[in-house]
Amino acid sequence: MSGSESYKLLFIGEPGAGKTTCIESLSDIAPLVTDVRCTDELARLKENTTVAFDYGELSLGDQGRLLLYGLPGQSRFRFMFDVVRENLLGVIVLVDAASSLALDGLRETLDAYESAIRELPCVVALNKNGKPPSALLEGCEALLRERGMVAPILVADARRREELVRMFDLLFMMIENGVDPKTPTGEATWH
Amino acid sequence: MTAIPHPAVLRIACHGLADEEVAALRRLLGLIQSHLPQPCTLAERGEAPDVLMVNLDTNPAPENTGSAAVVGCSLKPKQHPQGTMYRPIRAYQLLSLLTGFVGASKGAPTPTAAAPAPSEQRPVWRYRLRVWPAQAMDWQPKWWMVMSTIRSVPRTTEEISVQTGVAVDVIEQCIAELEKLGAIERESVQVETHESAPTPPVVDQRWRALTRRVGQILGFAR
Ligand SMILES: Nc1nc2c(ncn2[C@@H]2O[C@H](COP(=O)(O)OP(=O)(O)OP(=O)(O)O)[C@@H](O)[C@H]2O)c(=O)[nH]1
Ligand SMILES: [Mg+2]
Repeated sequence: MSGSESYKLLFIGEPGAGKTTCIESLSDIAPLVTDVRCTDELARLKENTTVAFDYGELSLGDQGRLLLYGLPGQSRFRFMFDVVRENLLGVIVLVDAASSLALDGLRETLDAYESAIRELPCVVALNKNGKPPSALLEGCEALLRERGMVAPILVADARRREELVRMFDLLFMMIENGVDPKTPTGEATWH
Repeated sequence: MTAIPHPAVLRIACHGLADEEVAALRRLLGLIQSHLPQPCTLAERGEAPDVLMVNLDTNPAPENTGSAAVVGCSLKPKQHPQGTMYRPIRAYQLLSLLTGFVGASKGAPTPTAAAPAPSEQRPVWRYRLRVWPAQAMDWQPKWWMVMSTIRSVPRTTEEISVQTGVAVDVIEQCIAELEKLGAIERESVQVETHESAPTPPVVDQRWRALTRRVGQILGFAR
């Protein structure tokens, strides 16, 4: 494995779900954040929003780099996914568990990124509420089940690196163990 | 019943196996090494082996095997004494042979040995996860590991064990819980013939090395 190799992880989710926060917690370069002050109806909810995408990096030494991208979950931004699709290892779907519209946000994200979430190792992370109600957990599980998506649901505070580490541990278990053994070596495909 | 000896390094010699089969055995040993109770290696020329792997399709069991435990392998293991392994050697059988115990008497004239093939004892199932239940967020990481291996690829408990190093009884507990929740589906595996026997899982070293590195950097252990 050469040091120039790069792998990507993608954070997606509704506005305010915590994508920028996650990447800021993990990146070991100053993250590129294309945030602007909210001017529309979002301004009532939060000060800044990301207009294009977030980008951060985690150096893996001689094994290259892990590139961290944050993309909005709404379907109108789906075209940006093509930019990051190559060498994408996995997806983290963020849910604003403090919002009463959390399930609507998750539904939109799952539908917009359906094929990526189905094909790649994926974790759904409930953010901004350490004790989400069981109805929300059941709702998330049902949305995944209806779509035939097999993805773990975790509670994680995006501001706390150690909670993100637990999420990464789980995501990398899926990356490490999810390769179809019938696939010829070197040609990993995901199911 | 004689246990496989437990010297510091367990040496395996092959009798009647083609060069590429010996090379494959060497690779399999490398893959399962970290899950074995002691280092296992192929015996060099002149070294006394602890285990003698005999190809029963081309050779009868040798008369004089010294103190080595004899293990037979065959394309059609059912036509040989119970405990004969599949040829080509399956990772899960090799793992259970080397971690467990053999039924061979030392110096017995016919190969018996080995952990019996699962197919001869009970139906073999391949499991696949249908949903990742929300309550699994509080389960132990070993169970997460098990679930990760059957998220997209159906696998038997032995294959999961080779892939993850998690003990089969822990895997079975996890599967029982998933079955209770309706979160898992299973299909039976035909292991009657050589052709339809389960494929040994391939542990992809690239993703394993990458995972280890990310774990070192972020602070999760593997
Ligand atoms: N209480 C709490 N606040 C959080 C948590 N994660 C993020 N926040 C805050 O929530 C706000 C929104 O988080 P962002 O990371 O900007 O969300 P985003 O997904 O990047 O949002 P957009 O860029 O608008 O799509 C910020 O003020 C964060 O500090 C959390 O786990 N708990
Ligand atoms: Mg943002």
